[in-house]
Amino acid sequence: MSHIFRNEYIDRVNQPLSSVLRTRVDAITRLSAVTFDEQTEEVSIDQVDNSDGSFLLHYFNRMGHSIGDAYLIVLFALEEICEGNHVINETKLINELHQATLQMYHDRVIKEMSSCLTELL
Amino acid sequence: MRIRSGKFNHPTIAETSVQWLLQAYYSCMQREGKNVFIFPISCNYERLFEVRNLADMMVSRDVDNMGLLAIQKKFNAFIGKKLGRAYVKFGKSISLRDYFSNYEQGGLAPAQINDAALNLTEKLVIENHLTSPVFLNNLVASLLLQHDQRTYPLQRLVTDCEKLYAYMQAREISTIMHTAPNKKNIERVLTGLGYKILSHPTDRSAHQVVDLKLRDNDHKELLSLHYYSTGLMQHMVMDVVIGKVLVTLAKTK
Repeated sequence: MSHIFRNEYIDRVNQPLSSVLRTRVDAITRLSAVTFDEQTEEVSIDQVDNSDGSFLLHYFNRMGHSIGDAYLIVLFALEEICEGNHVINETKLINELHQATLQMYHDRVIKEMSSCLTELL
Repeated sequence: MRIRSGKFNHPTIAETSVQWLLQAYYSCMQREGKNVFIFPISCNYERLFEVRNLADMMVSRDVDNMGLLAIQKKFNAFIGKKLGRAYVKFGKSISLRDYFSNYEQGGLAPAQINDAALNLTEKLVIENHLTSPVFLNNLVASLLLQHDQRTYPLQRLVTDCEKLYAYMQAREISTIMHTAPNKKNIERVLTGLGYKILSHPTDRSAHQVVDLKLRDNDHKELLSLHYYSTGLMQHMVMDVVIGKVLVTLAKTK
């Protein structure tokens, strides 16, 4: 997942992924109900309800909805295209996906309307 | 590399100006023992006007190129007729001689110019990304976007902004905010974004809430919030991954 999201934005591209993730976990543990065990390298969450301690976790989780949904929609579309051995114009495909995603938002299948943005798709 | 939404993408080809600069450096300056210093200057602003236009275009599907007069007309109709605040940041100077000292024979060879130009372009884009500050409207917009209810208690919004600010400090994310966001600043941002604060008829300080009717009734406003929060998202991609994984794991336990 981090490999996919990493390509979405420029985010410390020259650093090894493990060290980037480690610094972020350190920052999160300082300000939320998450603890990191140095010995076992295990992360444990003390609270997952919407309390103050898990505010950051829920905030980040929610923030990633639109990108996650957009990736899933594109992957499903690509799977169908590959299985059917179709050749489809890229611009047309993106426009169709945009309309389909918008419809999914209106049908409350996906949470964020921003998943339909053509630049994201 | 930087699309209109403010999002940075990985450069896949070198910037032409960088390529020309390196060609000039190779053909004349390097041989004469001269050096060139590049001073990265990052210009950023609150993007209030662009975000509105972008959301408008996305909803109306009207993607005509706008001329100066059309921009002037849109600007005149813009809320508050203010474009937001602008900030300029100066980065560390880059010495081309030092930058290319690792190349063969301590200098740049003609075959390496394209690669070197792409490397330097990437370095400058990353520098621009890292110095692009997070504005208070990025924080407020992302919180308004995520809130499920029709109203957002103002005091809670202030507290949530403070929490995000504390996290940004811990992560050393570039920002123009020197102190934690306060109620007054947040009210200014809300007004700039077009949101109203509703007060209790008798006790103004006790029950102030932000009315999110604007977001819920207008797709353009919803997309605007998304575009504003992109400014924050691009600094927090890995944090988003961690949050998503941890919440998903905790829910499946």
